[in-house]
Amino acid sequence: MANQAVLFGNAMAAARLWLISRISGLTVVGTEPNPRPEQFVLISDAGGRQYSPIHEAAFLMVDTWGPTKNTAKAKAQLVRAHLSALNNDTITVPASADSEAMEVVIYRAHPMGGLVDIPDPDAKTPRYRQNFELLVRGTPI
Amino acid sequence: MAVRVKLNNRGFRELRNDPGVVAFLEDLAERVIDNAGPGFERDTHTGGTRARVAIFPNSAEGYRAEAKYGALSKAVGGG
Repeated sequence: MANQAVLFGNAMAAARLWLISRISGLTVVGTEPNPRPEQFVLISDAGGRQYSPIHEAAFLMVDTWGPTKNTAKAKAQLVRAHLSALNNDTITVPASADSEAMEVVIYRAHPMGGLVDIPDPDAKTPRYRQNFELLVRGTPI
Repeated sequence: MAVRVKLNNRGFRELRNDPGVVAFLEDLAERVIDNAGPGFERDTHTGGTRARVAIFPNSAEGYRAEAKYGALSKAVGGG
């Protein structure tokens, strides 16, 4: 007999919406914009693992760009503070042209290590990278 | 009746440095390196409280792959 199918939501989109709602004036994107604004945050999926049939740990790579190293670092710390604050939160990811609306339940978010000073090698723009692990609940379908 | 539990910390240290644990960590590291692509290598440290395996870029190609695409960051969660 087949197991219950469990659908996991878009943790990256949920984290992006969470940051947008908490840090006013900061551009948070899932795809690198062209042209790039002076400062922005880029969130990328970085894999993960399944905790249980209904839980996954979603890994996110979070890059924070800024006009100066100090600005980029300060914004990266702000991002870390707000992502780390996630605690049993339900975030509604609205429908878009190519995906349906979905609620994403995030139990908690842990930074994996700290901030890494890693400027873009081509643009030579200040940038800080951090990795996060989000514990997410799936939805039986 | 209360039960006293005495943890064998020396035993834990030995277990965490056991050759089987080291082999497991090295296998895991090899998988991450395979996922990350060329330009990365691993280094094993034993002793102390536990065995550790570090993965790091060993060439300009590896440094660039991590800086540009997060190759190592993504490889950790990719397998």
